[in-house]
Amino acid sequence: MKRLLIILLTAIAVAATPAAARVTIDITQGNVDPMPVAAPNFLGADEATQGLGRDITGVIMNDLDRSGLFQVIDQRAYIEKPESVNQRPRFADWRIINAQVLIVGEVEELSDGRIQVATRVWDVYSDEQLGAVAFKTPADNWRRAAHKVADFVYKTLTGEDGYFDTRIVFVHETGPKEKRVKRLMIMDQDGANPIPLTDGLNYQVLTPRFSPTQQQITYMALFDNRPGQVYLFNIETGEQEQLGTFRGMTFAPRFSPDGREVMMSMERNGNSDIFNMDLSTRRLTRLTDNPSVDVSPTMSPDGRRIAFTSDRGGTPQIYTMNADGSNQKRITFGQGRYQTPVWSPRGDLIAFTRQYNGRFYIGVIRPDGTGERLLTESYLEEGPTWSPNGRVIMFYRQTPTRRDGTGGSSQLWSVDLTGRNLRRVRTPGDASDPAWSPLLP
Amino acid sequence: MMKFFKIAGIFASLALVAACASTGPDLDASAGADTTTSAAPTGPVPGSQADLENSAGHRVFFGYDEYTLTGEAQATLARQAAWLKEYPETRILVAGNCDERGTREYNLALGARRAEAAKSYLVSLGVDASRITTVSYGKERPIDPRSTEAAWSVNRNATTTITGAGA
Amino acid sequence: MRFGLFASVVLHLAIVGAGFILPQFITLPDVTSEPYIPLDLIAEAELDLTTSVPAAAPEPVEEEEPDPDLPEPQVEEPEPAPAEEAAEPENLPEPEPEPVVEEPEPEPVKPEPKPEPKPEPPKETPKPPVKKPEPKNDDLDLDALSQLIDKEREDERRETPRDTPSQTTETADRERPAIGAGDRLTASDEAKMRAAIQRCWNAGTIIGAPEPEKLIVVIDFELNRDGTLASSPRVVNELQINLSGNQFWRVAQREALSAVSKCAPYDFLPVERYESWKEFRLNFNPAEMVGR
Repeated sequence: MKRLLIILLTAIAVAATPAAARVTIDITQGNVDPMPVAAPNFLGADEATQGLGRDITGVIMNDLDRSGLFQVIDQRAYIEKPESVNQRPRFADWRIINAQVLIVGEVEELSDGRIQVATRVWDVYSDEQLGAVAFKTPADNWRRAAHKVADFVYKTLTGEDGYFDTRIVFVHETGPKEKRVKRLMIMDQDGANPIPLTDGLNYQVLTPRFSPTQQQITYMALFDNRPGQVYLFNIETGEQEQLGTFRGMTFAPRFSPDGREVMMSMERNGNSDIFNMDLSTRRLTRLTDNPSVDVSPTMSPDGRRIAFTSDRGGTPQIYTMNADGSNQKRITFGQGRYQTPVWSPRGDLIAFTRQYNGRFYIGVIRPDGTGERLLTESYLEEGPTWSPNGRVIMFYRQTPTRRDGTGGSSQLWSVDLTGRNLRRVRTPGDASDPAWSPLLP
Repeated sequence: MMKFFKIAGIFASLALVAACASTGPDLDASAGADTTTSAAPTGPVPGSQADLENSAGHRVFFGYDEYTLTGEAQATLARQAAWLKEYPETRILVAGNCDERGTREYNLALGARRAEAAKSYLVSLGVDASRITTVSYGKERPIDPRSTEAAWSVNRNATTTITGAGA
Repeated sequence: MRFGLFASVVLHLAIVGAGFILPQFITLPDVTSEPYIPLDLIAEAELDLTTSVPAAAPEPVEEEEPDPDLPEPQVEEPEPAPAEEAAEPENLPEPEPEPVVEEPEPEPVKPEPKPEPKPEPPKETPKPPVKKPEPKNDDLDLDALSQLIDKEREDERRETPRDTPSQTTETADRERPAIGAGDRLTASDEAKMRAAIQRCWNAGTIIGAPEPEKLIVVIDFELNRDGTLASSPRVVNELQINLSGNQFWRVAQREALSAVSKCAPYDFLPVERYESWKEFRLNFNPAEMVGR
């Protein structure tokens, strides 16, 4: 009460002062140009560490640049040549080339043979250090150290976790469309270190998905002459196993956010419904029981809701339900066909594929069905997957074949959830069905 | 233990290859007549895949995102049913296929429906359900790779192949 | 042929059997994964400037070198680079009053005057605010209070009801009784100011945040006659931002402050009307930028 009185008195006092001419302006548009960042080559005491420093800086610059949020200023424009990571930069030299952020780093060989990569991030306009970090690692693991640094810079500047120290599993495609060889492959998020995981001889790999908690992948194996089945693949051991043995086809698998369950569709007598398998007990729980197609389940990060595709309304649309299958409701009502919902790890959006007027779109929508935004469009694209920070969507895009049936390549692309920064993702050859790993530990 | 699985896996794979080499039909349309190579020049071996294709037709087609049988499809399946009664030892696989104008996962489900629609119709015409297995290939096994309406319309099908049997 | 059938059936059954019994009958992948090498993280403190870097101590080298024209400029001082940016608005077509004011959402941050003052989330947010920090101390209340007072002051000056949806800042300004000939910001000056700030405001990171429409930042600052900053810009809703615990909001705050600093000097504003533009309040509101 007393406080209120004080406030009231103050209010009167302030109000009584002559009306200030403070001009109020609403700023509702900003520039979305990437933030200019300067990153001189990381320093080193000898040739070896200097060489590593150059390589590491290259990876960091590439990561930051591809994110679309940052633009790395050409090193040739730099005036100051930093001599130590522990020396305060001459900010004026960096302001003059319009850098907003300066990244200075140093590679040092440790007595145990490992390297230490130390980094400082400076705000050029406020002359302040925004953050500092160092990573130790065996020298031949320098790429990951570089991604870790890039993630640190990203987090420092955006307030959210980065996604550079991550990997992508995808389907590597070769051969003509009628006899396509599809094998499972894994690579670093930036396209480095591609490694095939299956040989593609006896079955096609479709729709791989990363476990959000372990080095594990679930995918569908499509055989000749018998129904396709969902498999589990351990990246570290190379072991794989079929998830249960079913008469009908099992497909469209996806891990729950805690990694303990795999949701999937199972077909029985031509009808597909959604089930949930507990990975520890292998018990299967039915979630939908409907004469229509129910596919592509995806769980919200809090584990409470599941979004899926169903054509119970006549055309495929996106629905949500409780994790136990209750309270099913439709959330998409636009024209065309909505499919492949994928819940953002951040929880605020669901990515989807929409078919409309003969074109395919990748879009996002809020879980309550509002705020639909289409991000990209082409002849054929689908299969969105989220970066672990919920900021970037990767998907695959297929081009039409030429008139003689040749051509028609399939490639991975990524786009920011605001629809900006559409980029090709480098893969060895044709690729589809990307799945983003969680941020590596 | 791992090793045992590996070896078992290899044997099983070999078994698969052997089985398909002896009776396994090639799903590829262009190679559909492969099994006739050993046949007499007078025509396909009675009861063979080629015989089925010649005398009944082994494919029925569907409209976009449809799995209901057209009149033409029903006629083809009726001929298949009659043919199957002639060769009661024959077992068949019905594979459902889709065009590329849909998502992978939805098309797998749609293909399953198409295969089931064909199977149900055959069963309704008196073919023993135990002789028929079904599979869906979704949009993964197009007959015609082109990105045209004509290609899509033939890629939306249910294809019958003989898996076991013989005359 | 009979044998062939028999063999085929047996083999097929063998396969099916294998599928059931041996989960791994499929050829194993030709490549397995590589182990991960853990990365040790040194505590940030270990590298912190305050401990390991001679803080702000000018290096001797620095003094020897003939510094370029800019010897460690203060934020307030004019800088070549921003000046270039600031100059650009001059090229803009002289805006009509209407284009200047076409802002569908008036006063994004001003709280409605309520009996109990507390920090208010943006009023135009269509949904009820998820969670807002309850005011726990006087600072916060005072903070909101200053907004409240502003709002009341404005209400006094206005004749139209405050909930008229089409009302804009500019129309509100025009409805105010003239304080003095040079006291009011002209529409063209405001347009120049807005254009400059919008160019300096890096919004790329904010619009991808969850619920970006809530990340409003209000900045007050004063200018010298030459358009340089007369004081460090202040974040009016700083406490609200800090209490929210929303990391994205903090980034929005930093970007807003940075925009005001980067844009200085505001030397495109006419000296003869200095009284009209010596004090500014900018509401940075990213809501409209999110395609919805």
